Amino acid sequence: MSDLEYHGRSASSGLVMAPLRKIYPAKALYIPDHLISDVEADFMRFKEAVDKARLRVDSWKDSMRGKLEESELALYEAYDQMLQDPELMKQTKEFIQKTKKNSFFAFQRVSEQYALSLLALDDPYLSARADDIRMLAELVIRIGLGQEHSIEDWNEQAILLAHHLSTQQLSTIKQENLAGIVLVEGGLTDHTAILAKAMGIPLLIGVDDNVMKIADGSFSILDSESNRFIINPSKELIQLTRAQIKEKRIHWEEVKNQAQAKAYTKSGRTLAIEANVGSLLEVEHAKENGAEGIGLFRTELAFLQQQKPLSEEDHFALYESMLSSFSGVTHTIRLLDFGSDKPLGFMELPKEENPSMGIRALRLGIRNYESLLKPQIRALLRLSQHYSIRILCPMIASTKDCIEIKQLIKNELEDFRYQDRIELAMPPVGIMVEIPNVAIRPYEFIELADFFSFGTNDLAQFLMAADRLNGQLSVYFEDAKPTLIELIENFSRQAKAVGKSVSICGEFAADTNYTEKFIDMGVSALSMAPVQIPIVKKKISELC
Amino acid sequence: MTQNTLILNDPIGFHARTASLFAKTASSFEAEVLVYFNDKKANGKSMLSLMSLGVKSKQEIRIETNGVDEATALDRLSNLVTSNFNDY
Repeated sequence: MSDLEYHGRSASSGLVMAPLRKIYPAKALYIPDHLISDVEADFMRFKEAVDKARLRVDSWKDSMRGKLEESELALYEAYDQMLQDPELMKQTKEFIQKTKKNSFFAFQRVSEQYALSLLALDDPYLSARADDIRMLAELVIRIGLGQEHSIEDWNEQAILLAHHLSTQQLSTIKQENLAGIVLVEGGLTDHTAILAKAMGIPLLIGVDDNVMKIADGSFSILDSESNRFIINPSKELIQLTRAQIKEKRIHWEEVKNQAQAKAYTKSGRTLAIEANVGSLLEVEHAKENGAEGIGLFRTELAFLQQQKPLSEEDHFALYESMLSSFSGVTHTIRLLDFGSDKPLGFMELPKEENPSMGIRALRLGIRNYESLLKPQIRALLRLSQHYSIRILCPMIASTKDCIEIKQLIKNELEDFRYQDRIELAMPPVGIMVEIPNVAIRPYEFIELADFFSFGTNDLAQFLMAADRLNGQLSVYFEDAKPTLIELIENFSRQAKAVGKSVSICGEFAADTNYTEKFIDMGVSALSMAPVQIPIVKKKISELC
Repeated sequence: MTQNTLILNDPIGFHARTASLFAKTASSFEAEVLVYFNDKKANGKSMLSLMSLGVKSKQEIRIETNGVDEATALDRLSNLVTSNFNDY
């Protein structure tokens, strides 16, 4: 039989081969509307179903623990609270007493009222909660009336094929049996996509509706890396794919294992390979992939969802858990780089014409010193007494910027000394080299900071006057590379002369075409996304 | 009965996190807790009821407590709202 090929968009990339398993939309919920005589007994039966649903929600949460951030796990706690909602229970009971209809019928009516009233508020956030209420009500009713649409009981690896898959459905499937997912609907950023990525399961979305006509159990290949889904592949293709999968697995495992050790070139040269992270989960990935430290902790990313101002303790707790889970090495923590392109949940920012060149990072942090930078600096200073950390300052444009932020950090040390009566030592304070004025004139800055980190993404966008968020201009970033090399080389030479280190933390750091050049230039560390670390380390070991 | 009128400063208003915190805190008291917004009334111990008020940022709500511990309840809940749901 010839191959039948479908195309879609990759929401989580990978290559797998397995029989497909079609998931049909759940059979419409049937809720009988019969009258009851024993209200108490019927309500008890309903309460039991609610308790079972709560246990179910709890098991979803458990199955996602370690795969989702704590803030995302909080969603499951909100579900639990909704299931116990006193008003929902009270009104259900009142409905039963008034109409003598059975509990499940009453519960459906009351919960739907809540869903509708949330939808009527016309707020996207609350509309999502309306969906949650409907999902939870359906769960309770299906459990209580024995109409569960179970998709968890299959015992071999399969590629799941469906029109639409809710996060709730996804979390009921045994992960070891889920090879991949193909969906007719779905978005790149919806929760199902986030979960699939977190679980490392390939997901292809936006596939033509006709795909649902394929017979259940058909053997198929999901290659979401190249956006393809192939049904009944030929023997040759199966063999080829099997070989590819095997090679990939061996290759990756080998590369990853080797990455645990420090990488040296054949002649024994080396540099530190570190990780760029924005969350505790990424710190774990960094460790698994052989990072020798965190080279860039983008602290603002860990707080993007936060709805309230950050306290010193918020900062302290986050970094402390990072530092204690990855101890024994030096980590570089960057001060908050919020701005109008990375908005804050708890502070309204004025709209700007050119946010990447506007009031962002320290420019914003210093203007709102008490609420943004002060608590962060104080937390870092306290932590620096127990852990080896370096403070990295973003968006430095002038020597004045540099002097100002160092003075603010010194002031906090003084406060500790005179107000809190604690003597703290000053940790190393470095600056990002991401604005041409700094990159071009190293001699102006070398005395002012303890270390330097090239942010090549921003530096390239400012050098080429090409917005890095505009995909049509990406060609300029290739052209910027020779200029970046020249600037890094010059900076590095001058910094080394006074014993200071230069590292690179932009995307350029992971470009293996330049790894050798970076070593030649005396760059002290490359910091990159965790997933790229094994590849760069492998490259180093192949160099002379 | 005690009551207090205040502004909800949270940037989103009563959404899952804030409504959840408010309802949890309210539930720790014996007193009945009611929240009034425009012409609507919600059970302060019910997250769903609070969310469906549709209170947005910078809007005014009135909290009413009735029962043995009404004074402490009102105090704690008012603090929760004015502290912008901090530290809880």
